[in-house]
Amino acid sequence: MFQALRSSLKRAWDDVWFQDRPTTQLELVRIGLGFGMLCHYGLGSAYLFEIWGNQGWFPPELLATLPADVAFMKSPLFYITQPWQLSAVHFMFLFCCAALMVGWRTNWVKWLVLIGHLSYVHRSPEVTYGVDAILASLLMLLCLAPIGKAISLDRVRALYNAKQDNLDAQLPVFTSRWAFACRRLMQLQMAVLFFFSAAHKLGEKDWWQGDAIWHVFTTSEYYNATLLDLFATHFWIVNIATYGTVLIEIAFPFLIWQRSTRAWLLIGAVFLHLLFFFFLGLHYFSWVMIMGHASFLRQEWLDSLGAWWKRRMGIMEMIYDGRCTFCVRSMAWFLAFDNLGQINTRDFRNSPSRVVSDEEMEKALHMVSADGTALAGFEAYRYAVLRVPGLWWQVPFFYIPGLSRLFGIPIYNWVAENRSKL
Amino acid sequence: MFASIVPERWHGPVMYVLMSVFVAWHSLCLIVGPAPQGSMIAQALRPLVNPYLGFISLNVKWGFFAPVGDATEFRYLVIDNVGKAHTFRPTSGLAWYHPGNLWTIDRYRAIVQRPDVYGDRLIAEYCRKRIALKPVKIKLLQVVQEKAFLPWDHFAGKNPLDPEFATTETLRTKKCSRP
Repeated sequence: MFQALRSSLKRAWDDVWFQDRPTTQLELVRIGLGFGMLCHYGLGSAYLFEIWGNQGWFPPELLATLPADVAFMKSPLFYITQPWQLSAVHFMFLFCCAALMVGWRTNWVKWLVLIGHLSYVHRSPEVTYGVDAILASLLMLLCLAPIGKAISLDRVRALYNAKQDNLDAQLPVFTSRWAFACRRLMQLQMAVLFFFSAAHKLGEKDWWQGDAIWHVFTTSEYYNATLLDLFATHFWIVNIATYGTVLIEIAFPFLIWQRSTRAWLLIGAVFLHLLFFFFLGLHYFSWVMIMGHASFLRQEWLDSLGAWWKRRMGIMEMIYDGRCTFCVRSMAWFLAFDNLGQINTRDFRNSPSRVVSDEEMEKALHMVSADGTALAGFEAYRYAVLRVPGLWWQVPFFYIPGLSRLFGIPIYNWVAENRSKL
Repeated sequence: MFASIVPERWHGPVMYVLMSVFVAWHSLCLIVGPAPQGSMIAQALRPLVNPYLGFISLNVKWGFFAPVGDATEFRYLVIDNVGKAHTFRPTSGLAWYHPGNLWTIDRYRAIVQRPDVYGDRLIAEYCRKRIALKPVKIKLLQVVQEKAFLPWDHFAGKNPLDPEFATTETLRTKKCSRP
C-alpha cells in the first residue's frame, strides 16, 4: 500500500512539475524579455550616468545613508568609477540582451543578462519598481532552464551543421522535464502575482467602491484630461474598469490552470496589460507581463498556429545546383531558419524539375511556389523570406521600396555567376 | 564535478531529488514573500526566505495601485537676491512616451520620500542650474492632494493639485553657497 501511495504521489508530482515537453514557451519568453530589456536599457543609455553613475542622481555615499529598512545589496556597478568603464559595461550588457533575444550563445549569455539586470537594480534601487522584480524572477528561471534549443541562432547553427552533409537532415525537437519545471515556476510566479495584487486591491476602499480607475487618472503620474472628460460623463466606464480589473486579477490564479478557461483568462490578462500599455504609459511593465503570460501558451495552440500558417502559405520548392558547394552551404543556412518545414528542396542535377529547365537552373536558383509559379534568384529569396517566419528578420533587406531590387538583383547575379569561386 | 562525486547510476535519482527540492523551495519563497505581515506562518519563514528573495530582488508585495494614492507633485522654489520667489515643476509636462519619464518621476519620488538623504545635493544642483536668477535660498516642496477630486470638479476645470484640494509641504530649505 505504501508503494502504491508513493507511486501515485510521484506520478502526481511528475505530472505537475516534470512533464517531458518542448521548450517553445520558454523560448518565446526569452525572445520577448530580451527585446524588452534591449529597448528599456537602450533608452536608458541617454540617462546612463545620471541613473547608474557614481556622480549621478544616486551617488554611493548617499545610498550608504539610507535607512536600515531600505534593504539593498551591493552591485558591481559601485566599483566602476570611470565613465568610459560604465559605458563599456552598459553596451556589453545591451549586446547580451540582443544575444539573448536572438538566442546566440544562450548558455552563458543568459547569465550575463541576469547578473547585469540585478547589478542595475541593486545599484539604483530608488528607480526600480515591480517590473524589475518580475523580470529578475523570470530571468532567473530562464537561466536555470535549458533554453536556446529552439527559435534561436544556436539551433540554427546546429541545424546548419547537420544540413551541410544532408539538406534533408532534421534535428529532433528538444524536450526537457527540467525546462517544464522552470516553466511551471514561471506560471506560479504569474499566478501568485495576480493573487496578491487582487488581495491588496480588495483591502482598499477605492476598489470596493468602484472608482479606483478615476483616482488613478487624477494622480500626477497618470493624469489624463481626455480620459477624465470621458469618465466624468460616463462614470459607468470607471466602475466597469475597476471591477473588471479586480475580477481578472482574482480569477486568474484559480482559472488559468483549467483547460476550458485558460484561453479566456489569458485574453483577459493580455487585454488588461494592453490597457496599461496604452493608457498608463507602462510600456515596459506591460510588455514583461505579457511575455510572462507566454509561459501559459499550450503547445497544441502553437502547433496549430504553425500548421495553419504552413497551410496558408503552401509548400515552396527550392531548386538548387547540388554540384555547387557554395549553393549547398547557402541552402543549408536558408533551411536552418525554416522551423516549420515550409521549404522542400530539389537538386536539379539528380532530379530535374518539370517546371524549370536545366538551362534556367544553370543561371540561378529557382523557387516554385504552391501555385506552381517559378521565381528566379533574388525574387525567389524575396518570396520566401516573407512567408517563412524564421526568415522574417531578412524582410527589411528584401522589401525596401526601390532599393532592395536595385541592389539585390545585381548582387545575386554576381554571386550566381561566381558561385564556383566562392 | 557532480559526475565525479556521485556514481553514475545515481545521477538520475539525485538530479530528480535536487530539482524537486528546488521547485518546492522556490514555490515556497514565491508564496511567503508577498504574504501579509500579520501572517504568523509567513513571519516564521521569513528569516529563511528573505536572503534568497533579496538576492533575486523578489521581496515585493505586489500591491499594484493598492492604494491608488493621491495626486502629488514635487516643486522647488528659488528665492533670488531681491526676495522674489520662482517656482519650478520638474515633473510637470513630462510626456508619457518620453523614455526618461518614469525614471525622472522615480527620482523625484525618492527625493520626496527621503529629503534628508537627497535634498542637500539636489539643492546644490539647483543653485548651479538657476545661477542666472542669483539664488539665495532654495526650498524643496511637495504638493499633496488632501481633498477628493470628483467628476464635477473636473467639469469645473479644476485640477487635483489646485490650492483648494492640495496642501504644500516644505521638504527641505537650504541657502545657496556663494560661488
